[in-house]
Amino acid sequence: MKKMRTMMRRILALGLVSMLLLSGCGPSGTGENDGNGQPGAAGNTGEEQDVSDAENTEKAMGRYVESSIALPEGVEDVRDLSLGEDCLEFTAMDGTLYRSGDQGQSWQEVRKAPEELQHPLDVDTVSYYQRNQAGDILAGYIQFPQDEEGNVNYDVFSYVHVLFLEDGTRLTVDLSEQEYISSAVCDANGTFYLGGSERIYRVNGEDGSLEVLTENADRCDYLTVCGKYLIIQGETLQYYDLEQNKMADQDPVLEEFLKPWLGTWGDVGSRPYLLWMSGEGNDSLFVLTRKGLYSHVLYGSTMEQLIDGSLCSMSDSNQSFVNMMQLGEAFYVLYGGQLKKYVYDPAIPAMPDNILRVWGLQADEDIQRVVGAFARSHPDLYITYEHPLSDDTGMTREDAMKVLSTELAAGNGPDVLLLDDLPYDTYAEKGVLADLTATLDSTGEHYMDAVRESYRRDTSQGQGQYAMPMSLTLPVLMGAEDKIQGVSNLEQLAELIEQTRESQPEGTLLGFNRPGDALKLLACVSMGDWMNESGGIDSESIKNFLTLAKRIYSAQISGSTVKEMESMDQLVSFINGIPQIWTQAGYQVQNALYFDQPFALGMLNSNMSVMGDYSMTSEILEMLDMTMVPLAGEKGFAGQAANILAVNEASKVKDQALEFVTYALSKQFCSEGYMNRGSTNWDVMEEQIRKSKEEGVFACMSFEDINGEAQMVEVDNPSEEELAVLKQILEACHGVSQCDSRVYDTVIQVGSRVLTDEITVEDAVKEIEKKVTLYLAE
Amino acid sequence: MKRRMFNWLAAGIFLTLGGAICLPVLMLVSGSLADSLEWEQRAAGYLHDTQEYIRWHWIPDYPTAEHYRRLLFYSPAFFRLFWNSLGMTAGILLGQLVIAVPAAWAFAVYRFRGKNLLFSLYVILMLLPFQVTMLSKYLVLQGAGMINTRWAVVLPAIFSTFPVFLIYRSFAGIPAELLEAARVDGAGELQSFVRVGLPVAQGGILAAMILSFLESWNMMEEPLTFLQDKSLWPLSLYLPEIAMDQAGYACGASVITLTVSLFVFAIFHDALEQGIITSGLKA
Amino acid sequence: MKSFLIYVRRGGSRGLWFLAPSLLGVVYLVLAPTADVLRRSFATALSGQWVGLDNYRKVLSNDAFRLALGNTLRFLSLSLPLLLILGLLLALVICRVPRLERFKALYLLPMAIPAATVVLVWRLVFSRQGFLNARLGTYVDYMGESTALAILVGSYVWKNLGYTMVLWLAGLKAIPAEQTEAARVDGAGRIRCFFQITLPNLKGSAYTITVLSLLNAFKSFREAYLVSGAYPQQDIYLLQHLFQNWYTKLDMDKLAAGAVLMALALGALSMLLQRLWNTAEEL
Repeated sequence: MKKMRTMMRRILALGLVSMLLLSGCGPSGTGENDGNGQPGAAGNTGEEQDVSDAENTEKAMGRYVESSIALPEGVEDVRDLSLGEDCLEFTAMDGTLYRSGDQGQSWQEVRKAPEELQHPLDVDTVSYYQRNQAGDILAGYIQFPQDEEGNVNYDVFSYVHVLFLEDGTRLTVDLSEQEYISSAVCDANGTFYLGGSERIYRVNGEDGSLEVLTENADRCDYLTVCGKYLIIQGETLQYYDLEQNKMADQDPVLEEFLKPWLGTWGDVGSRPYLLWMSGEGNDSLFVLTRKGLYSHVLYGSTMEQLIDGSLCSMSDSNQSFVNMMQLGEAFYVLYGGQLKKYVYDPAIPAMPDNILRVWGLQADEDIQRVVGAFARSHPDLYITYEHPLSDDTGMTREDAMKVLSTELAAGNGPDVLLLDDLPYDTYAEKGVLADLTATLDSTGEHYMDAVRESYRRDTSQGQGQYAMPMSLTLPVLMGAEDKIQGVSNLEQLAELIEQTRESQPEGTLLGFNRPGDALKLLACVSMGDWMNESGGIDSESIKNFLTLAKRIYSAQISGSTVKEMESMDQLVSFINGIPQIWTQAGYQVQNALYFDQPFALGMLNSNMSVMGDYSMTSEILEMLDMTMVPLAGEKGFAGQAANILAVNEASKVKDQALEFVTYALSKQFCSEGYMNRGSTNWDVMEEQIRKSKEEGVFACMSFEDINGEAQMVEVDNPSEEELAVLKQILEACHGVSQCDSRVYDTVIQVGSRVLTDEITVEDAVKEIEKKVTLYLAE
Repeated sequence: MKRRMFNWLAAGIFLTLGGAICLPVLMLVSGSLADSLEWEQRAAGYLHDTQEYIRWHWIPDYPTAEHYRRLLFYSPAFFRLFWNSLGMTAGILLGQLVIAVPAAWAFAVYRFRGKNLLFSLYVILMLLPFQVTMLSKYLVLQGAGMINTRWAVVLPAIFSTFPVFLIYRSFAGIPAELLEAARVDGAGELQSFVRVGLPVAQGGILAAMILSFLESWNMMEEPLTFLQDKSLWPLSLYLPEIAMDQAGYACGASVITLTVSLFVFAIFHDALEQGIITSGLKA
Repeated sequence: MKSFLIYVRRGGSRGLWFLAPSLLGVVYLVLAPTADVLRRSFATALSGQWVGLDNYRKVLSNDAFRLALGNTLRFLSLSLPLLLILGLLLALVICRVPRLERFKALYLLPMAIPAATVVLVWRLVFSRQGFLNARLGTYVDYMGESTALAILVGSYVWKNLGYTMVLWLAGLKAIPAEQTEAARVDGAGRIRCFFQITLPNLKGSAYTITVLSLLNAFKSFREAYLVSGAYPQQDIYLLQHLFQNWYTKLDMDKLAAGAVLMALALGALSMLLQRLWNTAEEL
């Protein structure tokens, strides 16, 4: 009897085990064998490239190589890409169709667009433009009313939806003038589909009438036809079966793969992924993302990598995917304005011979851009950018550092290190970092001396500069000139805030609510003072900081209204994912505008691109009739560095690593791309100033402030005066605040309890001392 | 009568304590059934560090299989890691059977010079924390070209001295008479091992294997250090650095990880019991 | 007994064949790295220059090392006896009430929970917003106060109690019933019987159980580390925290010296236990 029971239990358990295992074999269990299917896919092993494996095994040959396609003279921008019979076609912005029979080497003008579509068609007014195989064109554009004198009224507008048949017949598409359509697409038979905010339509090619396919699409950014399915792309992916005329099941593999990019279109303004029907039919499609070009069969289990994005423009987050085509063996990808061709070259190794590893704890967009640009100019080099903490894994900071230590000590560490949040002094002292002095001296570019000075160390390995930050931000106080004039440190700021509170008992003054946020903001000014020359902590300075922080915090909190506090909480939660935004001057000054606040405190950077921090800050300051002054700590006016570049002394590709560092700092790179942050290179700033005067910047944003009034900020290029203020602040910079991240974390953590009155300043300092002493005693 | 009372009391305490010990497991199961939104509401205080307590309901307000669905069907990564774990664990256990069992036999049955010293060395090597020899191990594995291959995790685990130590006791429990009898029957060394040693210590070996299984299944440091390629990682590294807003998902992942261990328990429960008993036989 | 001795002597050299594969692997993958650590303990961190005993001096005069050592000893001296005694008590309960045997599984369950998940539970219970605070109406971070040590000890006992209990149970069952009966016949009371017959008979098990518990005690680090990071509350700052921190700061020299000291201490402890309890070697 007992035996019987045991037996039963075993059978049951085995059954359950096999169930569990089998569920893994379902849609996704076979996802491992990426890249072994198509002949064109040779050499790429999947989404996570195993570099050393490729070295160990036989060298795989062949990879797609990127090249740019020159457009015919006079054509500046491309609207759309299409295929003719064995030839490639594109439509220029004015609607002219060009054709190339020789893979893009030369172009012939084929025909002009119908008159109506030639002219109102500049970038901002066309919402979609789609041409099918037969030559019919479906387009929608915005029409602004004109009075008799030709003045355009930009405040009211209507949409025009029109279908031009190949023979020139003009059909009006039966849509309301107010309905916005975001995407149009055609299937293999040339039938058009339109996608708007909720409704998806099929267009009757005979008369322009519409058939509503669904009214329940949750949002539609783009449409793609794939075999018999229509894929509706918005926050999520939805599928419509065109044969059975109903919504179809989800494709979990595709959805999971695209997850990082789905629905981000509106936030980023550029299209970060693209789905395109593959010519092979049978529901297969191409998936183009920042990771590269993949091929996928709808409802299949694999994403097969064809082109590794990290080796070409695909990984550049500045690029927006517009369209792609496959013709013969080559792929053509249309980015915003640029046409690139990808040809398979069997003669070059699948992986470049040399590997350059770039390593930082967190992913950073600026560094990603450097990596992409550097990779394109060095085809012989495979560049990887690792950022363990930004990946979706269970790694802690300590885990990541442990792995890094192992590799560094074993002599096969990353070649370029980003020391943000890593112990610079420890690494410099142990001799793992290369001296950058000679390299930086030899570039002929003019870096900020104060910054360079901050990174000079006298270690047992000799004197040298072992790191150089790419970007710098500086703490500034913003407010009306007569009020903030003469305020230059936290003590004066505390007095100013307290005095202001007396005369203004209600309303926020500095825009923070939670103690931790407040401390992080105020710490920007003084964190450089917390440690002394010998590497210990300066308790006096920390005590001073916490006392002042408490005064400022109490004065701020005492008058903030409940509505303001709630709203601040919401705003902070909104940017939670990106903490460095919180301290940005541009963000804080928006707060000032939002809350109608007399002051703002933030970290200023010198970025003057379209939505750059300085362009934005100076614009809002001008609107509010405010100005800015530097805030200094006890040791002087110091900034914070980001993207601190260093080179591994033991790197096998040290020359290239050094070149990478100088490239990242260079005028050539920094003034070309759109950096998120300001540079530490004077030449870059000069260049940006020159460019901003020459080209001008223009951006516009609007939001509702706390009182529900619309605020509109039109950013244009900074004036001479504003540039002079910036220059003055940058020149006043005395160096980079250096504070061990352990000490910093402890002060913020313990200090938060001082602000909430849980402990006194004295107790807090004692606790900090106790906690940090342990760390320093190691 | 008094004795009976005492027994009831003892049994009561035993069961209550046992129940209390299992509570966290129930918490995981219940937590894995609550949807993300509910978690967010319940743990709002923790997430935003305000003075609001985490609320707990044993039965979720809106029970959902959302996390399991996402894990089992929508996460290719989860399954890749699942199979990695399974593969590595199987490799380790097989290797240990081939390597550690004979070694334990040698320690238990034969007497040779320096045996005690060698055994003590095995014990010390077993006790030394991983961090201590991590770098040196990395260098050795790097020298052998095994870094970033599954071997880097599997081989050191096979040669871990832990199973030798465990299995040793079950062999040491074999009565000398039994071995002598085998000899008289003309059995060679290998035959004694296979015919006498293995059957008697079977349970002990299985018990050791189950412990090794738990060990390898939940291993974290080794793969983290020796495998850079994330597609080779085991499941134990998938359990996210548990952020509360992902708590439901994390609970689900834990329950699945745990379930595998439980199956192993369930299948080999009787053997385990037997085995632990034989490993104590020698007393 | 005599015949076994002879058997063992004759078979000595052949026994090495059983041990050889394991020994080879252990020497290559475990012993060699350990020897490398020994070498490093006399050299500078990365450049590897010979510095004699400098590192040992640095380590022994290091305040953090002293603190960590003290904490580790305190943790072990609290948790080991607690676990061993509690486990033995439970095993005795089962011995008296055999019907409870089937509920043993309750106690074994926690062993299978992965460390990362244990941490989630800890957070739910012991954080400022956790259940404990909710129950008591307080707002204390139990992991950051002097209660941290108690939580660590508790979690260790919670996780390992089942296994320890089962091991003791095996030891208890292996005691020949005749011995106890003989003593009872001689008029020994229940309690005397326990101290005179049962306990001495458990010596062999005690060795194994203690060594295993020690091993598992070192594993508690992972939980302590996952829940409160590299710098936890002062009382649970263990040697492994220090070792790990040295590692991330690339202080390989101090790490190696500390490790050698630890290995020596463990070696001494293991020898001592073996002398005291391990009857197996006195064949």
